[in-house]
Amino acid sequence: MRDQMADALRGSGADYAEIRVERAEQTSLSFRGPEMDEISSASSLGGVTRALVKGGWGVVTFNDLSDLRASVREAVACARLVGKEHSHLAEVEPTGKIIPPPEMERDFRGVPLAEKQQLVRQYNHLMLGAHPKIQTTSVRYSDRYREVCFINSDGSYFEETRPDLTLSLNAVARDGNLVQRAHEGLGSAAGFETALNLESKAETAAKRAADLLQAPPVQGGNYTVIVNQKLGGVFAHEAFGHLSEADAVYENEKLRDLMVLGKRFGPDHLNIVDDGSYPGGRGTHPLDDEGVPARENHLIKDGILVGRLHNRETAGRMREEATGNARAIAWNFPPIVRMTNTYIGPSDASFQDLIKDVELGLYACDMIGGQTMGEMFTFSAAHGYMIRKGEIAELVRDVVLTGNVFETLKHIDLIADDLAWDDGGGGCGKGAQSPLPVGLGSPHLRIQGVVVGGQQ
Amino acid sequence: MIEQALEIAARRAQAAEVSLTRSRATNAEYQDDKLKQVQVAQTTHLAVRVIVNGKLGRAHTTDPQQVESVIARAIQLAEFGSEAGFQFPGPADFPQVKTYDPDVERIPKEDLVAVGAQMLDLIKGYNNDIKVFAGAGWSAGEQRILNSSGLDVRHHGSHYGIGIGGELIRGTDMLQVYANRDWRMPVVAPKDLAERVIEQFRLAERNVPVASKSMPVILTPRASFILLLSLQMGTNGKNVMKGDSPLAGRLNEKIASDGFSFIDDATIDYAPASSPCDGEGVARTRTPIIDNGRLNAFLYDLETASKEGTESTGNGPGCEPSNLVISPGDVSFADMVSSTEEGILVEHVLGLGQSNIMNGDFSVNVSLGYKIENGEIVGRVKDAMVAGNVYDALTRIEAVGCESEWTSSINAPPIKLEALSVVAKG
Repeated sequence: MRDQMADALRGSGADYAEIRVERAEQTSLSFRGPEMDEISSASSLGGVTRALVKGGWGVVTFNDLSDLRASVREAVACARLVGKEHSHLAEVEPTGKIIPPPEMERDFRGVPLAEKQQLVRQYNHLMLGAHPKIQTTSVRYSDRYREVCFINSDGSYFEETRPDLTLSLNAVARDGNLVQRAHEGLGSAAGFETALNLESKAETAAKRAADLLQAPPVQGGNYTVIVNQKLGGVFAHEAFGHLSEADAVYENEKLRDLMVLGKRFGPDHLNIVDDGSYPGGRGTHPLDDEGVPARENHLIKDGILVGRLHNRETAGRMREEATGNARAIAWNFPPIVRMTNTYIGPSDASFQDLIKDVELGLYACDMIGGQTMGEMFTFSAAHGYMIRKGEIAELVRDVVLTGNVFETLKHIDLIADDLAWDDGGGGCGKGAQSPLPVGLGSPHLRIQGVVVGGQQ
Repeated sequence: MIEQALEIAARRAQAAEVSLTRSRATNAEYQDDKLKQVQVAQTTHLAVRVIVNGKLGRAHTTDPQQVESVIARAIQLAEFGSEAGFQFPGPADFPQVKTYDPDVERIPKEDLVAVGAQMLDLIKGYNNDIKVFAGAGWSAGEQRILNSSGLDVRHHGSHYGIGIGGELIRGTDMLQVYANRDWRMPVVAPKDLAERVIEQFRLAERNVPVASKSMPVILTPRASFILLLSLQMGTNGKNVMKGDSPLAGRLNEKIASDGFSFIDDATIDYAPASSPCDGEGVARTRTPIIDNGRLNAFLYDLETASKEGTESTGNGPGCEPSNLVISPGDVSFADMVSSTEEGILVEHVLGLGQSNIMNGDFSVNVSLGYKIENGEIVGRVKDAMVAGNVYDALTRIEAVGCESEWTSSINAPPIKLEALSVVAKG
């Protein structure tokens, strides 16, 4: 394949061109309630060719690999319609790596279907029997083995293998017309072994769904909020991370002024990092989808904005270094600027320090999801507890937080020392590309004056 | 190739279905006032379902070389599959619905680029400080479904879509406005769409405060999705069968105000989700789900229908909706606004789907919405959330508008709700 790819790029007439070909195999199976729901297998083979001419991109995606040269011709023709300026790509050392697959204790491709089904059945059975109010469940297991092969006109070539395994455990409890759900999950770039021994997650999900039936909805209002590590990680990713993606700022002067390096974004103890080289992270990869090595990128250091995330084009245009953040979810997409493993660094407070002088507040835990638009964000806690007179009080449901990222970062007044990574198996969406495996981490945070939606 | 695949699969299984989808697409994309990319896509997709010993196995691929191994895997998986309980449908009378316009795939790339430029110029003409993003594109393709019950159905489809939006930054205040349209013919007018975006920018020129309290809320056709998201989950036959849906067991009950009717309709000519048959080869239908406030029907696919002792509504596989239509009422949008003493007009929200949507709960940031005072729109509302429950809100609909609009595959009029909880910053 390498020779055909190299051949196709020869004499393209573009300022830059690349071909990425991927083969992927996926197996999924799910239970809903006591019954097996679906089992399916997917295989894909396809590629994407990109060409850059005078600063404009042409992209061609295809399943038919018989004429790679035609894909290059078409991509160049598209790019010629677009390009009117100059091409700028950050210089990077060409790579020639054949990257061995990450270690899997048990390669999931060799695990018999019967064993996968038995494991899922067992978790499902556990949840169904955990509480009389459990109405139904849905448990889904999926594994994907993705092989990527990349070549570009700058002399880079690499092959990389990306295993991804997810398990999603959902419990639904019902009392009359009231339905409550709870979710626990796992996402991992490792083998089948990581899907084993998750009984406690299954029990936690079932118990929480049942408990939420008794929990009142949170009263809407402005609160001092303590977010737990999972929710802190979503906050770092959603509220701040997306704004630090350089494709949003590189040709937007006003946003660039807002996101100017050296500007204070938060208190001295605030550090936010994106690190695609973090060992074992869900968003970890040795090379991004432009062949640029992943690395540790400090975004906020001691409260000051110090960096952002780039692909080769945004880095070239802004005269900064490429950061290894060009990522694509699959064969039929070009790479775009994405996060990898994003986390808020720990400080020195204890959880007790955060909570002890909160008269009335909210302890928001875990996540259902998060979304941003410009400086606005919303994120939904899976559950929460009221804080009364410095202590954790009753469980509450429907906890949705919203705010303005610039204000909210400044209002983080205490950061704990207990950084933890979320292994829950969520994914990030941007444009049409979702879900992308990412890592999220944070210690407990205390934020003043957060708007919480709800009835009053 | 597909006939051969069916033959191989049918020989080894009790029943088999093979579907082959091919599509082509082209689009042009503008970001930050500039044409950035032109993309061309080609996709082939082969899916196989087999029933072996009464159990269902599925496999699919994009690799045309893999036909035999895909069939082998579907058969292997069936051993572990769910009880099928249904048979693949034989030939049937399919509705005559127009889904393909050959002009769509004749649109040259240059024209897509020009449409984007035209919309961009209109927005920049209104306010040069707005950073504009835009896109225009088409896709076209065909699907052929064959099964061992003798079905052989093929249909063509086309889509033409345009989108336009912009971002205006004033200090740390960001404002994003966008609009898009998708149709199976190239009739979408770029000028109208750009003008809608400009109108929204105009209304949002100044931010106004809003108090935290319960107040009437008008949902524009775009914001009606707040109601539809929970409703489409609640009326999905599979969710009903599993007991997940709060609407389970409530057929024929009154669940919404008089005047609220809601229909799944795949038979509208050139609408984005129209087609003669669903993904299982079952004839598409028009299914009134809520009829004048009364819960009339749920949506079914073959498997769920067989388990529930009913017929597929042509929403397979997965009991997913096609085009969703909220019937128009008799109140004009202007009257809705002028009859509101204090309220909010919601255009776009952030965070929908993050709450307990199956239960009908929502709690969303009003990413684009306006304050109404004494019957007039006075400015943009920011940092505010509206919260409520869809099933509660449905029984408190004050008015259904008479001017319906399409947004992707949803056709809805503006809807005025008696009251929702609003929580604002401060």
